[in-house]
Amino acid sequence: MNRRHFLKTIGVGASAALAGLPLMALKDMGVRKIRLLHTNDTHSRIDPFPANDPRYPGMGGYARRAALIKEYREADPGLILLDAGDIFQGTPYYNMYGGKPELRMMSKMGYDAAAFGNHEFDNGLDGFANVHPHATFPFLAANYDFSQTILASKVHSHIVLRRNDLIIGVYGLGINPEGLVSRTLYGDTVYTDPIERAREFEVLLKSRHRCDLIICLSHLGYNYRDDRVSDTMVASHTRHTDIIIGGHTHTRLDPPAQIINEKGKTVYIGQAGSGGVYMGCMDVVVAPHSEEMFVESNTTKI
Amino acid sequence: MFKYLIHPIGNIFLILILLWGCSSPQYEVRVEGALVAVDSLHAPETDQLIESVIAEYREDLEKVMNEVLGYSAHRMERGTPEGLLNNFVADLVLYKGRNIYQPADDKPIDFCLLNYGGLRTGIPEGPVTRSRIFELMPFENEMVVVTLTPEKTMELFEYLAGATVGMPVSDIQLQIENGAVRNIRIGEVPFEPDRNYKVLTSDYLAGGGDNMTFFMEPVSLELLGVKIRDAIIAHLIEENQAGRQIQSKLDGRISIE
Repeated sequence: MNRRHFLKTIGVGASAALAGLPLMALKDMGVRKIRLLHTNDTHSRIDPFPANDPRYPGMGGYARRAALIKEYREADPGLILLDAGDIFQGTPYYNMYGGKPELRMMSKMGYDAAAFGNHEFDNGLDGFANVHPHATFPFLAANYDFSQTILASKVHSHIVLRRNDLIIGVYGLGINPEGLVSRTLYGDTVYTDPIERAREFEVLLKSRHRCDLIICLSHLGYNYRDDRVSDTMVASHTRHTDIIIGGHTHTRLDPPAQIINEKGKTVYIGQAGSGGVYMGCMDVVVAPHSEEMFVESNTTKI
Repeated sequence: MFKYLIHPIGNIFLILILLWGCSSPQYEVRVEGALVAVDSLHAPETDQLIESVIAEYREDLEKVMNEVLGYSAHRMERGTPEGLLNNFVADLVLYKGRNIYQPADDKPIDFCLLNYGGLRTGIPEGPVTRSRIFELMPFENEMVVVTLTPEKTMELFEYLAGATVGMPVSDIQLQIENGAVRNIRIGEVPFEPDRNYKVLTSDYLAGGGDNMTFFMEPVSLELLGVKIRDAIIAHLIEENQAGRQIQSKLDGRISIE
């Protein structure tokens, strides 16, 4: 697909049903839109993949990603930019600099938040604490209790963003580090049930913060054949979470997956492979329930 | 204001507000999304500010990666059923692991098993750079000690007998005849079917990677907190400081009859 064409079509796609109506009219009807960009498992891929890489020749790289984000942001200054974790580890840049260049550059790109991936533990809690000041965006993990560690008050459970007349709540979820990360690295971090925390924080964001849109930023993994907690499980066991931006399993979800939640509503799950080769783009429309709109228009006729 | 709230009429207002909150219009969220390739088609130019940040790091990094850590007496490649590279890596990983491991039960590590697929490139004769070791072992696999029952240990040997490629092993010896395993020796001692064995491996294989299902549900699993790549790098530096070249030999530890 032609690049310009892509940027354009993705912009109007989500509101195809409402096409033809002027923007002011949409606003009067309570229709609000927001664009969401997301990455995951970029694994210190600061330089693009080598030109002779069998799968992704010359693809990815921070400088190209930044250029793409800048272009999207020029078209839509209100967009949200999220990363679902495992920013660290994978190239010698991390081994040598401990994640500082990654966090500096992601801050310059204007990331709004990142999930705390299992590889964020790779230089230990001290290693993370050392480079953390270089991130101007928060790390989120509602189900990691860092209170007995050096990361207490450095990693948050959730944030609330206000963009495009919308109140947007984002909460983070991390994977069970046991057996995945050496205990010497995660230390006294306490892992708690992601689904319990998801249900707790989505209610908090809905009732206390009156969020119009609730996003779960997760490093649990998309789906498993066994009973490990995954994004699909979080989706089906929650009531107010609208979107899950995921990582860990390096899954390419194109288009986003759709899972039905406890209330019978659709939850959208996005994940963009790994290595920064792809970036996810979601166009989100928050509109009055279509049935009510239908009823409303009928009433007007009468 | 507070006065009104505690007033009976104020309470009615409060209830009305709450009721209104409950019946506020239902909103629906709809999403349309796609993945965009981060390539020269979608972003013909790169961001110059970011390029300048990368440049701050790249030059130093290249210096470090091109550093010669030691010298190899000969070329080492992976092989089947054994190979110079298989034996070199498995032997040094076992040696390092034994140095680090502090068993709670005073029982040492019995042997080492890694995987052929984890050796991504060979070691040339002569100078060996840090980047070569990163290419050989790009994964962040860590050393772990897995305690297996005698039954699971036997499954491990049967796995080796059925493997189509040479798995790196150290301190075991066995023969494979028509897909069956014979004459198993651990250290110098024949396999004892009435005791547990401690196997040094990677966290990836201990998690069942490469279909090594015998590692699942072990008697115990202990993480050593050292990456296999770091063990190889440390070995190269130590040998070089001692004025020695690294070397390996084939000794028939796995043979096919």
